[in-house]
Amino acid sequence: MPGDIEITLNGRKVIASEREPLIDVCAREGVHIPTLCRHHRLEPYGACRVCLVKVTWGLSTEASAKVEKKSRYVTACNYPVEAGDVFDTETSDVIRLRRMSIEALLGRCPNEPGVVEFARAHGVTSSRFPPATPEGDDCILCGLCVRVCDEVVGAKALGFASRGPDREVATPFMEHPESCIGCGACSALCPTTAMKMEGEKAAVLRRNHGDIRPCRYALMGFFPGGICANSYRCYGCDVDQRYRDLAGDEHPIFMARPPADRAKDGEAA
Amino acid sequence: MKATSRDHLAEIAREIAESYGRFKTTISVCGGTGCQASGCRSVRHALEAELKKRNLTDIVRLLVTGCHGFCQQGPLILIRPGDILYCKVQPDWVPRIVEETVIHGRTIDNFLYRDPVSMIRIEKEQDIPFYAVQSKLILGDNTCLDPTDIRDYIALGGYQALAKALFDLDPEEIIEIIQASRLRGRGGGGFPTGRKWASALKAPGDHKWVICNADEGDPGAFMDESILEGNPHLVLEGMIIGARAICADAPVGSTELAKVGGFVYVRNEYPLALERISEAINQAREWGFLGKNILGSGFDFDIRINRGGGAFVCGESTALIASLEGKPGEPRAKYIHTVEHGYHSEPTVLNNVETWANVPGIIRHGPAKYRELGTEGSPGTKIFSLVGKVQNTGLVEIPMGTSLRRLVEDIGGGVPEKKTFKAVQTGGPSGGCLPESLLDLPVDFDALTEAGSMMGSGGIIVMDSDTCMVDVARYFVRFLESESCGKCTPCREGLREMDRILTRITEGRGESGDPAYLVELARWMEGGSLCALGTTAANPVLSTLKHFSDEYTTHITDRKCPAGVCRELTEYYVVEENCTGCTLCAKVCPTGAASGESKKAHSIDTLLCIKCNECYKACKFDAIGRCR
Repeated sequence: MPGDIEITLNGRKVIASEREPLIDVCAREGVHIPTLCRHHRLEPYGACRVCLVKVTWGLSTEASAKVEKKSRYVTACNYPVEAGDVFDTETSDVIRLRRMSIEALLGRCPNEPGVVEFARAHGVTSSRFPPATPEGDDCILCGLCVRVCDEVVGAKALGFASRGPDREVATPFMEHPESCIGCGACSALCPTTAMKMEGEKAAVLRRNHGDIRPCRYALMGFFPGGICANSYRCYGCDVDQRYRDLAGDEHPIFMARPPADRAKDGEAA
Repeated sequence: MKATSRDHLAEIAREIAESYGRFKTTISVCGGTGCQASGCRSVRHALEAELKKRNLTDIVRLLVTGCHGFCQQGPLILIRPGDILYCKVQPDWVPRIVEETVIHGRTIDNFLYRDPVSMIRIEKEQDIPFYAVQSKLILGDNTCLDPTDIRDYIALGGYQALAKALFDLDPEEIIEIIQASRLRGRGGGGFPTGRKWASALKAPGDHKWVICNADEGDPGAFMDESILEGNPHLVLEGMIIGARAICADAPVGSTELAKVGGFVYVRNEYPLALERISEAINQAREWGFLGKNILGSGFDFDIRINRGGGAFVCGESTALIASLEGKPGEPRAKYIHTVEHGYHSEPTVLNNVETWANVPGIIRHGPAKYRELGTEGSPGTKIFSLVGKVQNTGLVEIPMGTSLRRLVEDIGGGVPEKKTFKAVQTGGPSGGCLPESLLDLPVDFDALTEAGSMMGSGGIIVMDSDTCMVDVARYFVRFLESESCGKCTPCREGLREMDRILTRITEGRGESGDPAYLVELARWMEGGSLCALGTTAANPVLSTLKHFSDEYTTHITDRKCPAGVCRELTEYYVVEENCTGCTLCAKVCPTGAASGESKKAHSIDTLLCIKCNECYKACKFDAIGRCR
């Protein structure tokens, strides 16, 4: 096919599209690349450095005796593959780099189950790095919350403040931002307990519907791409009222919940 | 007054040069930031007053210029004809200078530079060793022009390279010349400039950008500052030529040129440089070198200034561009090249101030002439800020390939005050420290990198035996730690961890595994970081571990600091055989720790000693010791 190129992945020749992100090629070819700051709905960020692989460019032709090879480490999440690239994802140098990034994050957040579990799964069970604060931090600065709020939800209510080791996720003046629509997408994507949003209703919907918080009318097909703006407090929501009128009380989704539950919608999250 | 065509420009240049003919003498006063600090303003006022008093303003030209380079000896006055240089000028010398030198042509010996070794007074600027070894391709005109007056630049041939580029050459030819010159980026990366421009020309897009990186963040570096303060039009001319070079015709067959816009991104901490470049841009617009239909060529181009917000990381090209776009200054992966997708995803050429400053000369005199100086792989000259424990601190310009020894000893005059040379730090926070044994290495893009340092943007810091190399490593780590954007794990966490380890070593709590752990951290940061700040951050640590490993061992195993810098590891004591009992130490001691009888050997009570270092500084007999 036009745009198809050949690359070498862990010693094996595979076909890819020119400038396709390496991580997509790996997924297709069954090569596991661990990631922490990546999400398929978001632009790749390249911050955690856990997805590092080694790439070597070979300029070898049968006719030419001189072969020039350079290699360096690149992040698989956003590296655009080119013809002739040679990738190694599991050599000891790559694993060492990967593990040290994980070790650093584990040291930073030693009490976060998500981090501890991820680290263990990649061979890191202890860390020489001290915690970010005496109690241990809960944020690995992956930026998923900031980016989903910016790119998918469009509210842009979160950002980063300060530089270097002082970097932290922040809102304007560290107050609840006006532009926040309370959809909970940040909390849904957060790999640790750093981003916390609300209570049971949200938990149920999250469990059932994955990462991005669809408004239930989106689930019903009324409201394509709609994100919940009300922490799933549907009782007070004008979107709910509008569609309830359209759908009618006899619609299955309302039938599924006992009347007593509907009153609970008004409780604070 | 607009220069409406090439011929018009030539005519104007002639007229201006002729008008200067009425001056019999020119007094050039250095007005660079260094000399401002030494008091050149009062010298200038004194000269203005004296010349007015004696009715000489019609035949004597008083020129306040940018940096002459000899910062240690400022305030500086250069008198032409004759090239007589007076150093450390006091305002009250001025009447005598005007009377004897300006009017009667007699040199005043006491005001001249005196060589510290031979003790001989040297009259002419070019005979002083500091200057004699230099090749001032870029900085040379600093002493001849007023940076606030575009006419001086025009009179010296300014903007004629631009005329050649606009009328004699097409974009491909301009790029061929730059490629033939083998000019490499002067900001530290050393990327071939011609190749960068060629990629940008080829990149599709009907709006392109040229950016001048004037964010100069390395501590102690002031090369770019001095170019902008001393000869801002040189940079502008380079940028306009560059803009023309990447400006392809828009759609095929169209007679419309693609639009090009320009930025100069100046760090906010350079108020004088900002003033100069702003004024230069205004004047360039007035005279028709910026704006629409430049010199009647049909080419439009203009430049805007952007001030930095105080972040070292914004000197990194992708972070700079993010900052220009109004976003936080965070770098992004360079797998997507900025020449194809840079500012607002449009083709962008970003070059350093000194790189742009090299361009007009190359166009004017040709690539072959340019390659006469320097080395095969690194042609041309490089400007360095030579600072630290060296006699002649200042700004120097030398051909690439000159040895470090020449820089430190011949130009710098060596380490002063009978101390011994210990190390030279090159390349700023991304570079490393090299010992005496490597001083014969040539300074260029490649040789220093092989030795574990790098030339970088041109900062050279000389260190003597009073410098602790572990402390130096920690200084650079702390600098980078506070300047790191914090986005990627290895740089952010690696620098924090290196700081922790180095701090405990300097406080006497180092552990035997620390050097190996530091190397492990370094390799991780080098391989894993997102941008060059992170990948080079470990160089100061790695180079000091390599070349000064015994100092680390002394700190860790013996818990001592040989240089006497690390307070917890320093114990002050009197070297009895040297002590004359002058009581000076007792007089300066704030706690009474140092005491003794007059003319008898003194002693220091370590329980009272707060290690303020005053006794060490005061003692003239080398009788205070700091590391047993």
